[in-house]
Amino acid sequence: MAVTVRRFLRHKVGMVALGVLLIVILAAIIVPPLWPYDYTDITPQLSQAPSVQHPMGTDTLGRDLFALVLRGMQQSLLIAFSVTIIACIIGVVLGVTAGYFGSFIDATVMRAVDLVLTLPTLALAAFLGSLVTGRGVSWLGLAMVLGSLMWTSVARLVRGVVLSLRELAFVDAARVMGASPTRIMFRHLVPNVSDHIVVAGTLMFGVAILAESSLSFLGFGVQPPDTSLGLLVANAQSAVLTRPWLFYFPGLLIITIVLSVNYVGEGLRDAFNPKSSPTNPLATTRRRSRNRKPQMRDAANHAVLKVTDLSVRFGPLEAVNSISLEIQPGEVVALVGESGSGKSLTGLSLVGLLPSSAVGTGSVVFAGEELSGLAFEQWRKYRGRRIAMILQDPSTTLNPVLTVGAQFEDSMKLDSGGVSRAEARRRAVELMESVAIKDAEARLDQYPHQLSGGMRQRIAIALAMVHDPDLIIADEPTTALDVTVQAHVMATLAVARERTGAAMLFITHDLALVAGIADRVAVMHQGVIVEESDVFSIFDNPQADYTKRLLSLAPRITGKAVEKP
Amino acid sequence: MTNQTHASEPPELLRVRDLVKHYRAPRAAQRHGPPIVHALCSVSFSIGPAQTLGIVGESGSGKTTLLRTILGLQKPTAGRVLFLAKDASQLKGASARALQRELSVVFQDPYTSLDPRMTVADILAEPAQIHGLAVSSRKALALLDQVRLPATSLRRFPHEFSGGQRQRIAIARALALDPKLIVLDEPVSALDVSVQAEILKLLKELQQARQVSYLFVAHDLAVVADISQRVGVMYGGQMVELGATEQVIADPQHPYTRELLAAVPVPDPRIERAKPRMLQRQWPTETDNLPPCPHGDTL
Repeated sequence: MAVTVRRFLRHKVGMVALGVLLIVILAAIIVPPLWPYDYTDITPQLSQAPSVQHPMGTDTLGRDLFALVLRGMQQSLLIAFSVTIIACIIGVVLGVTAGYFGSFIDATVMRAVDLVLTLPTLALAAFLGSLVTGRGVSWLGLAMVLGSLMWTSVARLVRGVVLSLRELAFVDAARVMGASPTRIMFRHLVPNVSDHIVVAGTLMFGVAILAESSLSFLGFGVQPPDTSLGLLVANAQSAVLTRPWLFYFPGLLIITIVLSVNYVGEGLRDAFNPKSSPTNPLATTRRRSRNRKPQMRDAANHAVLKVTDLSVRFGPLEAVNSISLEIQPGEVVALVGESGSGKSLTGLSLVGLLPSSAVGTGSVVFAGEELSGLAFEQWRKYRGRRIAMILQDPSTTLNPVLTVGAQFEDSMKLDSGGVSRAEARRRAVELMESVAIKDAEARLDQYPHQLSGGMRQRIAIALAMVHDPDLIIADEPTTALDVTVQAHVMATLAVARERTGAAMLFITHDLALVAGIADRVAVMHQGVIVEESDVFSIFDNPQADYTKRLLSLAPRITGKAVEKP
Repeated sequence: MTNQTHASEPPELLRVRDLVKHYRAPRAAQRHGPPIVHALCSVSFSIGPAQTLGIVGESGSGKTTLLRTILGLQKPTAGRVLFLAKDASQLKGASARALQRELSVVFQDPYTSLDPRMTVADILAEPAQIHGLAVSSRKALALLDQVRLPATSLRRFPHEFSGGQRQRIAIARALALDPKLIVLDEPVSALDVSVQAEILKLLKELQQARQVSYLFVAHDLAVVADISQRVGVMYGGQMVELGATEQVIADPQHPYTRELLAAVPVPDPRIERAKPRMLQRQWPTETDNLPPCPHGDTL
């Protein structure tokens, strides 16, 4: 919550809009009792232009326009506020009920939403409004009519969010504890939707002001002698040319209020959802170093990858502290560490994909070429072609809307341009069969969501083999998978490495996992490589205390587990 | 083994008898597969007091369906779940609630199993609130102490904790009403290896201190074997193997159990390098090598 407030405070447009809105609301509350004229007072000065005595002029009856506008603001804001509250209450209750219970209740509520959406809101509000009382409506009646027509957007929003929330484990946990549906809905679900509700409510406030203004303008809203901003505009329409001030002041106020409400809503939305802010994770890299030529370095050094003094900082926090690492051609180096050790950041900085809030320094030399400080465009020569990356979650590597075959084709077109579809499919099948993927031909026409997690990861690996990379970076490639599937993926990686002859950087938290695949192991702890040596020495004769601890904790099936007391 | 069978005490805490759960496959899946999914086929087992039964299986083996049925989150197609010799689905009102107090759960993902909008104090107080029992901060502090979290945690929110700490909070919540059985659904598979070991140690200590039973479900046989006296192996909705942990590991009967054993990485490069490379399942996966479900295709 504090983070949200801070983020809103930094949202300049939102803060200015909030300031304007507060001034308007305060003015509507505080000023009327202090102002010498009441909105009902009729003065002898008819149709006067703005003056010191009447800063907004007077109307044809001699009423002070400033007093009228203040009263109009009170009425408009009051109605808009009530409409928002009523619509939000109806929308939240119906939305959360529909989302939580689903099936029949959900269908009923959603059909009701469809029905209300097909009604012409303003016409119906006008009709209902005139039904409520014989002549026009009170502000409360108007608010109830509008509120009962405007809840649909909130209901749909809340239902959508609840549909995904109810799948989360904390809802199941509450059910197992014996919580009633009411408790789950209002103690667990509604608080978790509240940010969405606040944003939707703010935006609705603006719509409500406009709706009230339109209704009053049409003569179905607030009735004289009382007044509202919309009614003031309506009364002024015959006098736009002769007495323009009557039109401009209330009109400008409507625009100001609606605009500032919308900007406040936008600020809130950005504040609640950090992901909505348009920051490109690559922006800083791109800014810092436009168009530097890759420099040839150390042509004599045959290492595929040579990292020297690599550091990654988040503000004052040193996540990776001056590490150095070398990978020879065809060599498999494992980088082992717990979450927070900096191992994944190390992997990301090798391919220039650090988050924008991180600052990386040091040198990364790939096949004799300095990579640090490359521009975005220049990276494309390396990423995916000479350096392949296998990520923990294969569903982020594969494009969900393309078939597996299409992704192979896309990838193959990247370098050789004129690959025919049949040729692309033939190579894709060959690559998949080389890692023992069954029914490779059929897989080509499937979409990623039709495949199991392990199959997705193995296809991602086959895809990485397309360009015969020199280096494969695998970042926790088996973490989300079953143990047996993990074994399949590890075997797939080993085959991929042998076939392409690529070197590999294997990043994981599980030391035991790398025993079979790594040539060398680097153990990372709190941003520092605490130990690095060949795979046999690490397991036979670990030097660092941290390595010993990791080894002692590795679950094993032989040994202690069986010899339990 | 802690297998007390006093005459005064019920010999079994939980008894699952011929549990069957079928459901209709989604329409999109029906084009490729059978219209009825046999998530559970006649699964039976029991757990005694202060015991741990571990269940291993891959995704799709039915272990999650089994848990959800035991927890009452879904109804079985056939068969019964007897907890403290009572069938919770037959109970209503006060006796159902009394039974509910004796059973709690810890889920896999500590990032979603705690309500992000509640403080730790609220989270720990919730079980008592639901059951209309007295809520005290002393109780909450005692719970935190048992899972080795500092008292200052009470006023903080879940996102301020690491994955392992969150799992400790979830365990504290599960202990809140002093249950006789805690169902643990992959409680450590989202955690780092080192944190896994700490959580397993904590669970074992708590079992010693409070005589609570665990039904511990995971896909990693090494983890399950570490904490369980008995192990059940699920495959294709059936319990293909069930026995004492030592026995299952020393003499696995089913090919899937053997594959599970072989898949556990051994922290020794010589052993790992000598293993045959497993690019795919080493034995036929078709369900026809499992006995057909005795309940056919009933829904």
